Amino acid sequence: MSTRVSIEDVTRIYNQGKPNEVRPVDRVSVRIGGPGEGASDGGDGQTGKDVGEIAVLKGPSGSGKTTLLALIGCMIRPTSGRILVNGRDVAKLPERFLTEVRRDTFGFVFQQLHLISGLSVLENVMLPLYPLEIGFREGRERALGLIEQLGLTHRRRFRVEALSGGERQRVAIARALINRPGAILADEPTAHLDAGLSCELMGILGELRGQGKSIVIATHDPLVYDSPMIDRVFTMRDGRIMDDDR
Amino acid sequence: MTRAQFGKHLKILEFALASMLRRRMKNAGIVVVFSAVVFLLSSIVFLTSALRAEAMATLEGAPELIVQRTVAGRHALIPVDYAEVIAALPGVGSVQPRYWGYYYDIYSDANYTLIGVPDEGPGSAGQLPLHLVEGDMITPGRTEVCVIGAGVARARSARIGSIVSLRNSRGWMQEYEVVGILAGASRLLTNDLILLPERDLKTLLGLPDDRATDLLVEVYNPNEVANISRKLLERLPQARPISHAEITRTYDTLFDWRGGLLLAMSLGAVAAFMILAWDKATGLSAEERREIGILKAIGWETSDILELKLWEGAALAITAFLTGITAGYAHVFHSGAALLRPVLQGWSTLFPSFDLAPRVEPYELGVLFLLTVAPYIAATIVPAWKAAITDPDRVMRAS
Repeated sequence: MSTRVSIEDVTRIYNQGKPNEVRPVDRVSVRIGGPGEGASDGGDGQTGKDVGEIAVLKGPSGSGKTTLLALIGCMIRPTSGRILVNGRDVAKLPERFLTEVRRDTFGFVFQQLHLISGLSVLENVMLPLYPLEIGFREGRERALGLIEQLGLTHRRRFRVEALSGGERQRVAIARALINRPGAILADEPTAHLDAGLSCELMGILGELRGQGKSIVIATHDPLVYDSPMIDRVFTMRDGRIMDDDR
Repeated sequence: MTRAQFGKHLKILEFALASMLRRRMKNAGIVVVFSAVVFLLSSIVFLTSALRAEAMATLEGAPELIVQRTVAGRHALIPVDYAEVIAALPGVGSVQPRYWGYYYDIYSDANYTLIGVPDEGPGSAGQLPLHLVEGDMITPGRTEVCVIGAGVARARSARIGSIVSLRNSRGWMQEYEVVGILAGASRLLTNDLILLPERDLKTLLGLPDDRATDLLVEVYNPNEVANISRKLLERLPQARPISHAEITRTYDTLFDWRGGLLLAMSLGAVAAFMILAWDKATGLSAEERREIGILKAIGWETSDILELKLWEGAALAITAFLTGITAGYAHVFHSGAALLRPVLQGWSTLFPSFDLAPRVEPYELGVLFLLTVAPYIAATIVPAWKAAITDPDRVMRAS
């Protein structure tokens, strides 16, 4: 099921009141995911039907893309404003509940991938499940299913550092999907990929959209934001959204 | 706890062990140093405790009062007729002269303790609780025979039927046939022992007929020992009564002091370990910080990360503790505490070597555990907690 996130007049300030105060996100309002045009919201914040969406946050370095992505994914709290995840205001939730929302709702694909060296593909994919009350066997089957789906079955026992860049990218995607999140957040996912692998990645993200996932990508790669698969593009500059291109 | 919750903890434990294996060099280094410190501390504790127990075992069955004689403040042979004066005191049972002495053996470079066996046998009042490993005890009327401790047998390569030669007070060699080899509840007690017929011993050491080494006094009521000692001193001013309690206290103090001295000497090593442990445990590597950030970012809670680090710290510390304790045990009870014995044993550097009876006090183990494992785990948890409470978005920005 897709996830709807509403960012309402959100500002994030670092080092507030100090000479080095920075404001990477400034009074931003944006709605991501949810029903398509004309679709009704059931009132509980859940969508009426599973419609996937790929939204892109584009802009130069320092424009606030990554901070906005972190705010959408409940990794940080806003200094002011509201963040509604499927209709629930999460901005002021205690850390433990915020972690729960993040874990159940979002899957992250980081710019540096952040796979754990020394662990196998299977172990890396299963990592988010370790602190959950899910049986080891069930978790393993779920991970193997994703690994197969992403074409990595023959590599499942390999240590991640032994994989190619594209394969590592797919491991990161599998790990992001293991908790069956409604939304995938990807930060500069093509930063270390060549054109061929970038297209392959977009293909995978397109498939996920087809499965009803909401996908948000922070990027300044034209290969991503010019892709026909992208539903919406938000251009950011100096912490603000300049326009909604699509 | 439900099965699912139990499974969750098990998975975190499994991940903790896998993480430790990934950093095996660093962890192996800590285990080696940690084990070495536990080895040193446990060796001291085991050895002190075992020696004290050995010493105490020698007092088992000893009479409530031993009376010696001092001349010019030094121990001197005691007239046997003192026994009659002491026996006349109210509350005193039997009084028996004891004949014993030390013998320095130039061949084995060791000091032996020689004890005379009266005709009524070694089990009489005040004699030591002895058991034979093999052979027979000296029977009444036999002469020029001996029963030796295991240490003497080893030093002299003697067996049943062998001849042990000892130089008598005139400088002549005197031969004794070994008829038995001893064991005892305390190996400290029997190891250096040579039992001779009382008459042979007196001849060997040149003891006058009317003198004994000391007198063993049986007191009916142990609470009366102090009173009897006072009365005894009034009648025999040169006597030196030594109560059972005084000897016990002296041994206790002696070994506590020696153990304390060694522990103080080890303080440097312990301090060095603590600094190393603190440094290793608190100095999370960039890799570990990164991993904690990743785990937070992919949905681990702070409590999950603390549990992970708790498992890691506990697994490492307990492994090192058990290794150190086992090595300490083997060092003290199987290889004779070769590294520490000269300091703790002190007076018996000329003693034939002996094996200590294995003895472990749960209380002492508990204290060692608390002093080593607990601080290490605490030192591991604190930096992990600091790293785990930072915002997970840092990981998104990390390059």
